Amino acid sequence: MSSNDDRSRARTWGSLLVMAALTLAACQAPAASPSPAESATPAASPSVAGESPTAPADATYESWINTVASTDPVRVRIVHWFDPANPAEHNQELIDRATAEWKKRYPNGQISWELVGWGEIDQKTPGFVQAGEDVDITYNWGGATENWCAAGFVVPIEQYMPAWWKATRIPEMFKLPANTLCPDGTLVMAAVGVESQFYLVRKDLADAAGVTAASMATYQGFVEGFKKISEQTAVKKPVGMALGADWTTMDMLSFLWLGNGLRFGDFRPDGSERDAWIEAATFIRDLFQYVPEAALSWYHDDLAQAYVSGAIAGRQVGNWDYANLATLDPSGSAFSEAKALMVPYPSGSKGPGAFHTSSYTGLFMLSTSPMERRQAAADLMAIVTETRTVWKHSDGTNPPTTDWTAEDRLKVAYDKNIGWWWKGMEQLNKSTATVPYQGFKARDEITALAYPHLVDLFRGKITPEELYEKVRAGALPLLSSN
Amino acid sequence: MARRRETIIGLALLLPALTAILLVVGYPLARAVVLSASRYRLTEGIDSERLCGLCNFEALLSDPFLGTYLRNQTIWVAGATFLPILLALGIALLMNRPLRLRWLWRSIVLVPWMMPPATVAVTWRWLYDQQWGLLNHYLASAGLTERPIGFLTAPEWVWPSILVAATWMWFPYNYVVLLASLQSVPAELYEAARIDGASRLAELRHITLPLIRPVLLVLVTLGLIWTSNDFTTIFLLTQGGPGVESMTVPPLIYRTSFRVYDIGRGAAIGVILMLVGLIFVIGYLWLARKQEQA
Repeated sequence: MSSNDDRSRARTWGSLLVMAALTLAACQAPAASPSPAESATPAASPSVAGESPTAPADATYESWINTVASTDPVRVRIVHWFDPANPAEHNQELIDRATAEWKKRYPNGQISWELVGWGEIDQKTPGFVQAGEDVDITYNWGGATENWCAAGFVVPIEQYMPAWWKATRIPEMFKLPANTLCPDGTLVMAAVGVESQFYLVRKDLADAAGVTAASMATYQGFVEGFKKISEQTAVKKPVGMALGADWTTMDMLSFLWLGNGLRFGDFRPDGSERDAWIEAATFIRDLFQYVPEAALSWYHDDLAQAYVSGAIAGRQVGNWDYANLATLDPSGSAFSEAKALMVPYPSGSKGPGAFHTSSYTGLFMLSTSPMERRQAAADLMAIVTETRTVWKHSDGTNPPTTDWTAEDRLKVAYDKNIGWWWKGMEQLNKSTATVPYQGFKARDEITALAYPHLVDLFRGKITPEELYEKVRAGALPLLSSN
Repeated sequence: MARRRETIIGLALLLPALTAILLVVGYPLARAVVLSASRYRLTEGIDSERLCGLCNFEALLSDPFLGTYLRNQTIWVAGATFLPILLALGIALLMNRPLRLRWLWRSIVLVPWMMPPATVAVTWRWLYDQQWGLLNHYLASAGLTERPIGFLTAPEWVWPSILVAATWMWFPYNYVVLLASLQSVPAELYEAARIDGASRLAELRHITLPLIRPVLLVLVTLGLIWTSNDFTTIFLLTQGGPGVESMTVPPLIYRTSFRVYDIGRGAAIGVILMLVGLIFVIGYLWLARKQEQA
């Protein structure tokens, strides 16, 4: 080896090092991805523990996500639910992506994802809070918001959310009666999706019976429509409901009170709700004639099975049910563009006309979240609900973001077959009134006390008037004491 | 002096076990009693617990469905205790006789006992299903029914259906115990009775039943304790429904505490159940002691 060779090798290595340094410097030049050490300075990073992030860094998702918020080894614990009908890799992709994105802001942080079933998430949250477990984020639907606010399970999140996030959400999310908000108007949920509910009717059977969506827009028209299907097709009990438990029954029926300007638990001391309430109850009684007795032992899964197997011809449905129904009926014999008639909910005499309900599902920050972790937790909530992420991963539901069309979403959709469902929803949203779904005070207690009476109404043992009197008598003390 | 020392050492050795029992049994028990005397609804706030005396017990007494719950609990406890014992006794008497392939039959009878209760309950739920259930399918195929029977939905069918499932689940344990007991009855007694011209029924009445009576009493007492606490079977079959037609006390505690979030009232129902259970436990201990002395 000559010294010339050594010098030549040294020059080559030196050149390579200089080029690498220049390349790295060029990559860092736009200041979009500063090194952790640089970005840990106060000017570049939003502080933790409750202070709002500074405006310039959080104006757009890109600038925000590429700004390191903290280099501390912060930990966030999230208890999440995924629709089990979705492919596992779909859910894993969301977890991986959200984790990777969050790591950009918290490079030394750690997320603990705990996946639980739908029923469990509702049961576990009070347990977490009561036991003081350090869970930061959980998932639920907006029907729980009112109770959770009253119980102090959840904390306001608006102060923690970045500017880009607020700017890209639909304005309705920040206004009452949206169930992202506590009754006092405080934002407590970062919505993942907007659930629309309506009726799904077998189109081939409706056509055979001469029934259209428009003909079912009123209480009377709705009952008449199913009567015709019952008389003119082989499905003699065409209306499916999950009446096997109190809470599933309330899921099935509460929309009908919303269709008459009320909520199920709207019992007022002056009794001004009486006529409208009884009108809704009378409609339910009439509709019950077309519900199979087997429904008294059905839960949500049984209802889905009944629909796809052709045992029933119509059921209440939420747009999130897509994955479940599509999985159960891969051949599309009952659930496909050709077989699905999307029917808006019918309205009573005091209602808004044909309508669909709208409610939010998403992430709540629990009061058990330690103060020093709340900003990091909120950042994860923002990442999971970021615009493109919800377009891709909110499945059947509508994204809670502004300016989208079904076509836009299809470009990023995980399952492109969902197009007809999204377009149908888009049409329904445009053509019928939207009634925000609202829970009601003492919802679980009133539901439990009403359920046996609703079964009695199903069996014709009591009249709608008696149902009203019995439920009201039990509900008023609960409403006054809660 | 030495005796006193022995006592102290004995107590010291017991201390770890006693501490563990106090922590895992004593504290939860005391907490449940305090909760039963408190108004504590999670929907009113995590820190809303406050003592209210007998308020939860008063609320229970004014519950319009109290009579239904008590009726259901009685049907369940009595039915799910005695029916498995009766079936087990019949099968044990049969298996105690010379049979071809007796070892095989004796093993097959144990199958229900090997299955997890939750699996059994869910399987029965599907068997009974009005829309898709195998039972309705076979009944219709055989021309025995014109329309499907609502085994778990029709008021007249719900309890018989639940009790059949419970009997199937629980008779094997009783069978094993009774078969062992029958095998301990001396064969000479039967031979002597036959020489005296006794019928099979007379043998059963005057020899078998009196001799296995202590075992039967223990089985009844244990059955009463276990069924009065059973949550799985009813909850997985019907969740207490339709309405409250099959609601027994354990699922009611669950619903009150974890669906309605009324922790205080749920604890009050639990305390009542515990007191009733205590009567059975005392009965069991008394029987066990009596048999030990005998």
